[in-house]
Amino acid sequence: VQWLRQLFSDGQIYRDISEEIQQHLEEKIQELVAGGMKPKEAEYQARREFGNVVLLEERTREVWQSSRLESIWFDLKYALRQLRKSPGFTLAAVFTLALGMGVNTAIFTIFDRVLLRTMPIRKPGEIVLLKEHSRFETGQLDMWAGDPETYFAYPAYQALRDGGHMIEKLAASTTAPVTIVSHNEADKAKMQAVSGNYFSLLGVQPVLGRVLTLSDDVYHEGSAVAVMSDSYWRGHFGSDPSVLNQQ
Amino acid sequence: MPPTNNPDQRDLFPGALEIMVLESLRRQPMHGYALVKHIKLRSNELLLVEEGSLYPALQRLLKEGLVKCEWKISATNRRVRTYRITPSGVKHLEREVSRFNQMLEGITLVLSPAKL
Repeated sequence: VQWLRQLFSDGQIYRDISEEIQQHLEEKIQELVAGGMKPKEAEYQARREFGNVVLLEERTREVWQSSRLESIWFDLKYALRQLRKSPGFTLAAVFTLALGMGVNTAIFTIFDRVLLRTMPIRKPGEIVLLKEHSRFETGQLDMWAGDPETYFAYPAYQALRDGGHMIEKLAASTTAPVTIVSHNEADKAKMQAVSGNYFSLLGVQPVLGRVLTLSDDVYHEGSAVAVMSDSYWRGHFGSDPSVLNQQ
Repeated sequence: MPPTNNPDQRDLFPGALEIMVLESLRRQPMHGYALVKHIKLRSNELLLVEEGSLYPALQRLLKEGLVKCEWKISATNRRVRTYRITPSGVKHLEREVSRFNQMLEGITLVLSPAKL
């Protein structure tokens, strides 16, 4: 606690030293003047014999500045003093920093919410979306909606999935609007047609029933399987567990 | 602290100024400027305390608790910081003076003409 108390009583120590040195100079000047010297001359001689006052104050302070911490504290206080001396500059600097930090925080918050947190899947940071880039204009292939560059022919998908060493696993999906008929009502919904490895790749487990597997990945021969989103299940079926296995 | 009559301005050994300050303060408490004058006077002006070096020395003594200080109004009606030696300062002084005397004795023996 000794050093802490010392840290905060520094101001007083340094004020005392400055005053003491000032008093010393004044006393000497007074004596020289009393001895018949002109005041200007006396001041000059007193200062010359005393030496560099600023340097001396610094050396005197160094006696107390025993630790690096204190030295940092001293720099900090100096910086604050300088800032207080030029409020215009301080205000501009603080405003700029505040604005910068605010904008960064806002952007990251949006990025975090939209891109990072809305993907309740395993390792969201490692998921990539494949896009095709061509040097030539290939024309539009806008089947449903979305970005035509993300559409791949099935053989191309197979080749990428099996021969790729850049990608650990590759799954395919495409979206389409469908009409779902249940009980007596029909409802339009957005469907996503996915490859059999889609769910295992994302590491998503179902609450009820099962998700699609590789055995479903058979053209025209697999059983008709669908996975319902949790929100759809809650919204349209009241989370009824008996929705399973109904035609 | 250079000897006044030496243009080379050689320094004394480390701690010399502190010993002289402590000894001066043992005689009577005084402030910085008075210390400069006192040492100058006592040494028949052979030693002139470089005024600048006095204050760091005083701060070192303060920090080590060998002296104490307080602001007072001097006889000339000036606000001065007066220094006073502490009991541990007296002890330190005695130890240092005895060490200094030993050193001086050693140097004197080396410098004196050899006795046959």
